[in-house]
Amino acid sequence: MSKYQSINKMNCNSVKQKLIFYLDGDLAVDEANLVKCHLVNCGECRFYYTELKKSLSIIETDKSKEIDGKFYSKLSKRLDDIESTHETTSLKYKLVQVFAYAAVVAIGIFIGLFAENEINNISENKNTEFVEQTIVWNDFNQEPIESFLIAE
Amino acid sequence: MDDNNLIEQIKHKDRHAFQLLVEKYQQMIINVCYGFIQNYQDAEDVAQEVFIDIYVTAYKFRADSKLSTWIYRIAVNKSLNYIRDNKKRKSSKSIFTQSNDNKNSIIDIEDDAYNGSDYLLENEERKINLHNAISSLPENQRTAFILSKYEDLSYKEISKVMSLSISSVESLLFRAKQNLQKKLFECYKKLNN
Ligand SMILES: [Zn+2]
Repeated sequence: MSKYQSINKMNCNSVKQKLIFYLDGDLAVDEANLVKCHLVNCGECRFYYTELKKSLSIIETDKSKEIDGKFYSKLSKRLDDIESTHETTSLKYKLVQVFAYAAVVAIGIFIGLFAENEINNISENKNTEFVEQTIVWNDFNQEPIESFLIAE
Repeated sequence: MDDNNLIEQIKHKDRHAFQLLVEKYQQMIINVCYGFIQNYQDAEDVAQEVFIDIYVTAYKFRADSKLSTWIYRIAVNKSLNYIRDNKKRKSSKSIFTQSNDNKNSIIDIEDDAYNGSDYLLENEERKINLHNAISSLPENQRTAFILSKYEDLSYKEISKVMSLSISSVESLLFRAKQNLQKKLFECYKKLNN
C-alpha cells in the first residue's frame, strides 16, 4: 500500500464517520466542504453516502403514510365502551355504597336500641345500688359515734 | 380553539373538543408510535391508547407546560411500554416454538435481492435494515432520534419531552446517529463486497 493510499484510506474512515452528520447538515461549513470534495473523488465513500441517504429517506416515506380514515370513529367507539363500563362500574359502586350506608344505619339503630335497653338496665341497677348505698350510709350515720369524739 | 381551551373542554369530557384535538395531533402521535413500533397497525392501536389516556387523564395536565410536550411524553411512554410487553410475550413464546425467525437481526442482503431486478424487495430490505438499526439503539438514544427525525423537534423541545438538559439531548443524538450509521454500514459492507 502506497503512502497516498494509506492517507486516502485514513481520510475515507474519517469521512465515513461523518457521513450521517454531513447528511443532516450538522457539520461546520469547512468540514462539510472537505467531505463534499472527498465524495467527488472517492467512489467507495460515495457508495456509503448514497446508501445512507437512501436508508434515511425511508423515514420521510414513513412519515407521510396516510392515516386510516376511521381512526377517530374507532377511537370514539373505544371511548364509548370505556365510558359505559365506567358508568356500570360506578353505578355498581354507588349501589354498594348505598347498601353499605343502609347497613351502617341499620347497625347504628340496632346498637342504639340495644344500648338504650342496656342503659335502662344499668340505670335501674344503679338506682338499687344507690338505694342500698344510701341505706349503708344511713346505717353508718346511725352507728353510735365514738365517745372520745364527742368528748371535746 | 387553542390548545389550552381544547384541554380545558376535554377536562369536562367535551367530545367535540376531543375530536378537534385528535384531528390536530393524530399524525404526529402515529408517527412517534410508528418510529418506535415500526408497524402501522400496532402504531395506530398504541396511538389510540395515547388519545384515550389524554381524554381520561386530562385533569392531570398542568398549563405550565406545552400540551404537545405532554402528549409526546405519553406517546413515548406508551410506545416503550408496548415494546417491552411485546418483547416479554415474544421471549416467552419462543421458548415453546424455538422460533427461528430472524426478523430482529440485521438481514443479509443477498446478491439476488440486490441486483436491481427487484426494486420493491430491495426497498423492503432496506426498510427492515433501517428499522432494525433504530430498534437496536438504547431507549434514550432511540427516543431522542425518533423525536428529532420523525417529528423534527428541536433540541429544546426534545429536552422538554425527555426532561433532560439540551446538552444531554445533543450528546444522545450524536451517539444515536453514530450507532445507527455503524449498524447500517454493516449492511452496506455486505453489498459492497
Ligand atoms: Zn473515501
